[in-house]
Amino acid sequence: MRGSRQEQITVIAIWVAGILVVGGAVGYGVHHLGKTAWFNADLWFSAVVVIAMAAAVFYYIRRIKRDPETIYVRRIPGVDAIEEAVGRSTEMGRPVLYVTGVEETQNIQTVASLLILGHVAEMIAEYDTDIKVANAYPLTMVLAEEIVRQGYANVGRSDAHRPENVMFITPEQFAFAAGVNGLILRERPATNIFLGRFFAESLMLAETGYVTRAIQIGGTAEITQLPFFVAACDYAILGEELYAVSAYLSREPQLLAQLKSTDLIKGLVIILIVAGALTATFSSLFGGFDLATWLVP
Amino acid sequence: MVKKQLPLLLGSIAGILVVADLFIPQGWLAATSDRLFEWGQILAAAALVLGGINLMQVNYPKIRRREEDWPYKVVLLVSAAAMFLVGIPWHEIGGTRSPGDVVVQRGDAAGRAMLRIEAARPDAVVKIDGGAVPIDGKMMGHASRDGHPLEVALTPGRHKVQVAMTASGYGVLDAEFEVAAGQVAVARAALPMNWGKEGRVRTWAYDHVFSPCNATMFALLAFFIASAAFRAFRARNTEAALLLGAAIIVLLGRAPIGTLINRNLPDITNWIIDWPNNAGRRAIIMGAALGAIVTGLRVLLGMERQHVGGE
Repeated sequence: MRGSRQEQITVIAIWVAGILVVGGAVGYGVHHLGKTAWFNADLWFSAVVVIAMAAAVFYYIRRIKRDPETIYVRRIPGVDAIEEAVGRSTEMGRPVLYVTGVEETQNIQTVASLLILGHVAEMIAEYDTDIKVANAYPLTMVLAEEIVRQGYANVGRSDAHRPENVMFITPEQFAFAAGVNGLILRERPATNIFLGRFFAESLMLAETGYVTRAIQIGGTAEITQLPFFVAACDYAILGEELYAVSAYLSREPQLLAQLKSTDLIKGLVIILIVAGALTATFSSLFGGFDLATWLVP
Repeated sequence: MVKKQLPLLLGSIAGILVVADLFIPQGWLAATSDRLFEWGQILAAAALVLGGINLMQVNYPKIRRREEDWPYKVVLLVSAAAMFLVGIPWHEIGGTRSPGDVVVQRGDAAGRAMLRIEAARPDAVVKIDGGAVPIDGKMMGHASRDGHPLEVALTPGRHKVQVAMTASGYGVLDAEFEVAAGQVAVARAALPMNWGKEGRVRTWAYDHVFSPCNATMFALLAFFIASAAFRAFRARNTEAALLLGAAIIVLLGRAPIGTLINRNLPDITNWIIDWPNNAGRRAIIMGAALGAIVTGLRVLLGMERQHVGGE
């Protein structure tokens, strides 16, 4: 349970560890390395954004826990379609194909994709259908395998998990596209889910999926590939929505707080854009203070 | 407790250290951060072994059961094994073979300082003093002329000679020598064939087998774009009609025929790309950046647990 005592102790331990590390670094810098800088002043605004986001997340967690009814989360049709698509796969007796993108695990889009995979694996296990997970990197494959195994275990279906369904294809972009296209044409999945970072192969995968008449859900924060997913997939998960999917599917206060804090910071960014445009205009006309230069020296 | 909480705690500490390194410019923090990245690379290398095992686990049973398209899986496994074998630097086992050396001998009757190239591979090329000493009027020349070794007259003094194959994957003789009047410097270039990542066989296989296949796949993209565009540009509603209109203007504006139709078409195209399109792009990029920060934060702070099994 998320609200359990054990969980609270973990969060506190993590915060204490973080404060100790950062405090230790600052203390060490001040006392022993006084002649060197202990804070990169050029990045002060980035630090403020990160701290503000962390503070906003914690504020919204408290608020949502106190009054869960007040939170409004707009519908994301692409995410709502995942369960429907898994159901369709079950009815058709064909597998679901999940592609985690063509980037390594340290890429945040791959991380987001793997987090969503956990929820999808639970759905798959509940519906008693089959999932094929295609990975471009071995480390992603190892993580995906563990996540899928846990997904099955979480709904008490560990026996149904088949490790060979989580596959390492190749890190080479077009060889990966050829491998996954072959998989789509041979296995004929009823649902294709492409979530993560994609490049030119996005359209190759989505078009091949279209040929097999699969329901396709494509999501990426890679701006150049979004039009391809919009054109070729039935549902597209655009940009920031990719990062919101895990929270949206879990409906847990801690993760929903993330959505609200993003909205709050987005509001602040809009204000900064307007203020920045005004100060830049006046600065170029009359000289003087320019907000953008001040924020990012 | 240990199975889920410990990985979360370790992950959080490692993540916080790396983030702290961005903001706190201290040497020890940077060194720790670098060390963590090195550990990550070691983990990735270990995972490669698991990747190889997975490849066998997935494909071998399908070959044994003669499932659909099983011959392709044989090709896959044989190719993977062959690339693995040629990727091993065999030439380094038991000591690296020397690419050759330069010895200075007495010799030229006319009292000149000379350089003679004795290359084990006649199609090798030679460059003297980085191309400053011309060979047949060019910066570099062949090591052999009609089956005879190349000989070049030099000014007495210190010189540098490079003997290499034009194809990659061979050793390179790169040596300095000093030659006086009446002496002959003999460059004995063995140029042994290398194995491994930069080796001859792997490079050949990559350049002559893999790269053409890769280019073929990339070339198919044009047809995929055409079929996707055909579906996307159907004016089913107002938004799709707007998209279709903008696409036609941009297509014509980017093609030479656009200027013939209307001189202003390229300017209209640029306006569409620079203003409405750019505004949309930037909005998506900003939203995605904020989403990425919060996703990173929730993993770092242990709020997101799907990667350790959730709940």
